[in-house]
Amino acid sequence: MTLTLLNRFGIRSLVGKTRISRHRRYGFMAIIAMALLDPYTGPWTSDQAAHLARRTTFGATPVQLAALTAAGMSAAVDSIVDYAPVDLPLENRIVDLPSGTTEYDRIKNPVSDRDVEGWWLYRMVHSTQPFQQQFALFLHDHFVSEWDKIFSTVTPEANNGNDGSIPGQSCIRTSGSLPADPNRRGAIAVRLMRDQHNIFLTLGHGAFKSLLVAITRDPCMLIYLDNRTNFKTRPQENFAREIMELFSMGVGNYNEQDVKEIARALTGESVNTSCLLNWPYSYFYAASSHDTNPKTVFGVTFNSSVPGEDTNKVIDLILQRVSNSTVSPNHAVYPAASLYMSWKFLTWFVNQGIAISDEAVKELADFFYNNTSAGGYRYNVRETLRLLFKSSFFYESQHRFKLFKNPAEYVVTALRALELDDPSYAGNVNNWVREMGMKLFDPPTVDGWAHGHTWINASGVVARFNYANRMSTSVVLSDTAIDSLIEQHIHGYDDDAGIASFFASRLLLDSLTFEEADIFMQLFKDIKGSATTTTQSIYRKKVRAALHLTMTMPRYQLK
Amino acid sequence: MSNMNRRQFLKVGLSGLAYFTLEQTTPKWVMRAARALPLSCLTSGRILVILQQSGGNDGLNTVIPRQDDIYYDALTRPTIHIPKGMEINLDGLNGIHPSMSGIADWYQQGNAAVLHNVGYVNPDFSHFTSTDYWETGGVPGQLMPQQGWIARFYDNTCNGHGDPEALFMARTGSSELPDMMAGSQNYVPPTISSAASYSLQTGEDRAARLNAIHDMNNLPTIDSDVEFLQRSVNTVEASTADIATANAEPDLYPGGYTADSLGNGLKLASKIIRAGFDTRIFYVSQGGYDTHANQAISGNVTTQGDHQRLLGNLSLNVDTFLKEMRDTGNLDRVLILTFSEFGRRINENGSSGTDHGAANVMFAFGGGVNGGVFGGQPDLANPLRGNLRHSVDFRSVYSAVIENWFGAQAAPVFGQANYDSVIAPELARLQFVKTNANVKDWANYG
Repeated sequence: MTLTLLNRFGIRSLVGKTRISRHRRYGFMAIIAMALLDPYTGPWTSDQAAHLARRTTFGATPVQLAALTAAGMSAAVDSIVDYAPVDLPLENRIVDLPSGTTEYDRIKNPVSDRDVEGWWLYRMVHSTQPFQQQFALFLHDHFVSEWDKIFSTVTPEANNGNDGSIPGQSCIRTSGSLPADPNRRGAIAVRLMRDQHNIFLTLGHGAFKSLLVAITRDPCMLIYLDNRTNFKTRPQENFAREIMELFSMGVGNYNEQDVKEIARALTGESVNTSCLLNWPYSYFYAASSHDTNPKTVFGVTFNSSVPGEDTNKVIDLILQRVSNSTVSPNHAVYPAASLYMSWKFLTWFVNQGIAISDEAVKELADFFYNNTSAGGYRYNVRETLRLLFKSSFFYESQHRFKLFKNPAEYVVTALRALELDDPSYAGNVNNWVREMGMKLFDPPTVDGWAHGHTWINASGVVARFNYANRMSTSVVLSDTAIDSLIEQHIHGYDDDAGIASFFASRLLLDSLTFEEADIFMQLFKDIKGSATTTTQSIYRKKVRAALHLTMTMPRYQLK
Repeated sequence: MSNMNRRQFLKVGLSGLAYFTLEQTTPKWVMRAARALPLSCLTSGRILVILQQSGGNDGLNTVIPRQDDIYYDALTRPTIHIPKGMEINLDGLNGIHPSMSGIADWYQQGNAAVLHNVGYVNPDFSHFTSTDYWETGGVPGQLMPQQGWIARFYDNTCNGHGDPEALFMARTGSSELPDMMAGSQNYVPPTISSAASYSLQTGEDRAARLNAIHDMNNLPTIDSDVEFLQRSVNTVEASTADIATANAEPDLYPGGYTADSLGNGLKLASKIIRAGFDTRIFYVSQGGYDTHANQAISGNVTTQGDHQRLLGNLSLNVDTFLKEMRDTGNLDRVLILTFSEFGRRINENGSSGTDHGAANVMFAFGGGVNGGVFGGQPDLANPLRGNLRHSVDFRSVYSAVIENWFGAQAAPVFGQANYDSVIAPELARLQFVKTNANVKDWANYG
């Protein structure tokens, strides 16, 4: 099969542009209209397996890469996407972590933003089914909730223990029946974020409709997009707008009246914050807040007295909505949600320059919406991703190293590939990831992170390279680790080529060019300096510097 | 490209003495010095600070139309309006939010301009789409530009005028490069989220490692992504020493900046200016203006709720920045211009907040400002679907800055047709910036 991809605006058009012209990115234009998503039938070597691993599993160790290669394409993809809802070995590992150390206590029982960031980073590094973590990252970026808003919404009174249990006294007073706990407020906010995260882990791969249904009842989201204060008397539009613009269909497929009507339909979906119940911040359907007048969305009028039924109707209407909009010609044929979500899958996993009008988007949407074979259902996420990862389009060479690693991937890939552990995820790694521009559980806007070129900026580069430096020190890469990891792969302390290629094979899953290798050789020469023999000390310096340098290579920033 | 990068780097490396004083070993690429041609555009020494109020600021509660009965009508903003008399009077017709006393003082001194009713045709209510318009200088109905308007302005004015210092522009207080500054042909401004941590660390073998990092990021390539990465690394190499130098400047008003993106951003911008670097355009931002809920607390609207806190922080930080500029003789050469992606609905919603709106108020601050109110009063009696209509196109405001502040051409930035039909007719009533002729050329100071 031959496919030619042209970039209408030339390479410049992609530089630094992520949010700009969300639907005007005619980045690629398919010339030959053969099925892009036909199964990949080319050679299956470690080269293709490495591409799959870089895109889906935060890279791979040599053992993992060998297994993917040996399995063949189809089984390799299956082994990645068919993860279990609960990563038992990971959870057991965390249970078995020693208690009483600050670092592990924070990971076991997070009560602050820093804790929960470390909690997740630890899980990404040690997961036995990393695609589950990668896809949770996608969903977190898609169904955004921001820590700052969640934490600031949880009442500070929770810390005081002012639970209002003393008759005649309000929840806001100087003492309560609960003991004071400086971490209670933070723990509530963490629980809200973790419950949302758990939706991504357990429902993310299933029916997209179920995911939407769960998200519209998720207390964290109902707080974040203000639906808990969306009342029939004065509806407000925050959730209604974003559920269409960002969570399902994209702009251009609804009008302002639809926003107002959906806002009315969503009234009543709320959160119980009662201090008398010790601040459950749990889902609560407030029937008295629900607007019981008819609503008309996309020309369909509905009204139900059954709690939550109007919300479910909205989701059904959204998922069926064929808008005939000008966003792309395909919007006259396929539901806008099938196209928008397919576009998001493709831009996350294949190439950020893919436009929503692209042929691949159309093909993936066709499968996403229409494939109901073998007892399947519409909007089946896992089967759609399976199709994508097995497609010839996914393995096209022009996509290789064409996505920018996000900060979490930058860190997690290196630690996983080298089977190293950072001693401080909640106190240190999370800070570096923040400085790289990514505060987990706190994306900058409801649209998530901007991704692509925007990950690469001066401050972000400094933080990336400085974390690489941290990894190269004995804090992460101990002398023992150097010996056990590397020594068996090289032939003596003077095997400079062996040292350089070791890190390329682990971190890039690729080999070095001659020019790149020369820079490593010069580096090693400079480190050795005027010494006549390469001592173990010099050798270790070379190894540390090589790790640092590999992580500053342009190709390591890409995947 | 790599030649320019290297010159760019080396040039700044020479001026960045910190490199030589802090490091025991000088990386060898610092020694490969070659004098670059200094940039010969925008040489007046004037500085523009773009200040983004992200999320959609509620202009009506920021600058209150204190003579407009509709604003005070019980159906308009029953719980969140600024109670009559609490606002700080500006010009009789307008009052500013009471948490903005610092900015009110600058207004009284003639160093602040209020620009009412700024927006664009067919306003978009999506944060992201509308922000894209404001950042790129595009409007609905036209193809969204692929560069930010600042990047286009820079390319149009400065291409062929030599090589910019790495710090010719800067985004401070955040690591994210704003779309406004993105997409230039040959220049990527640095982003500095924290001056203190803006340096490359090396455990051991510092010179050898830095040399290798430099060489690895200067290999010839035809891959646009790799080239972009290389350029970003070179920008870092070229600016870390200067930022360290700037960061050594003292705080003239300790506690005068908030410890957030806006406070850190303005603080560092002030230091860079006071340290004498030739940065021409800064971009800082303050988030949190998406006040759908708890914008103000009924009964305590001037002291509780998110909006009074945001505006109070805005005023504090701007006030401190302007005072530092005044105290160091820089006030006349700085211009702060605020913007937000849209204003908010005229009527409040049921959550003590406001939903997305349209036309909005902008501010300009500094010694180069003609103080006063521009753009007429907001017309609450004639809304467009519940929102304020615009009477000033935001591109006209940008154009006034380009032409009057920088003495450059705006037409190529926004297109001659747009300029002729929309911008030129509006410029006459947007004289909020002193022109080249009536601001002292900073280069001739002292």
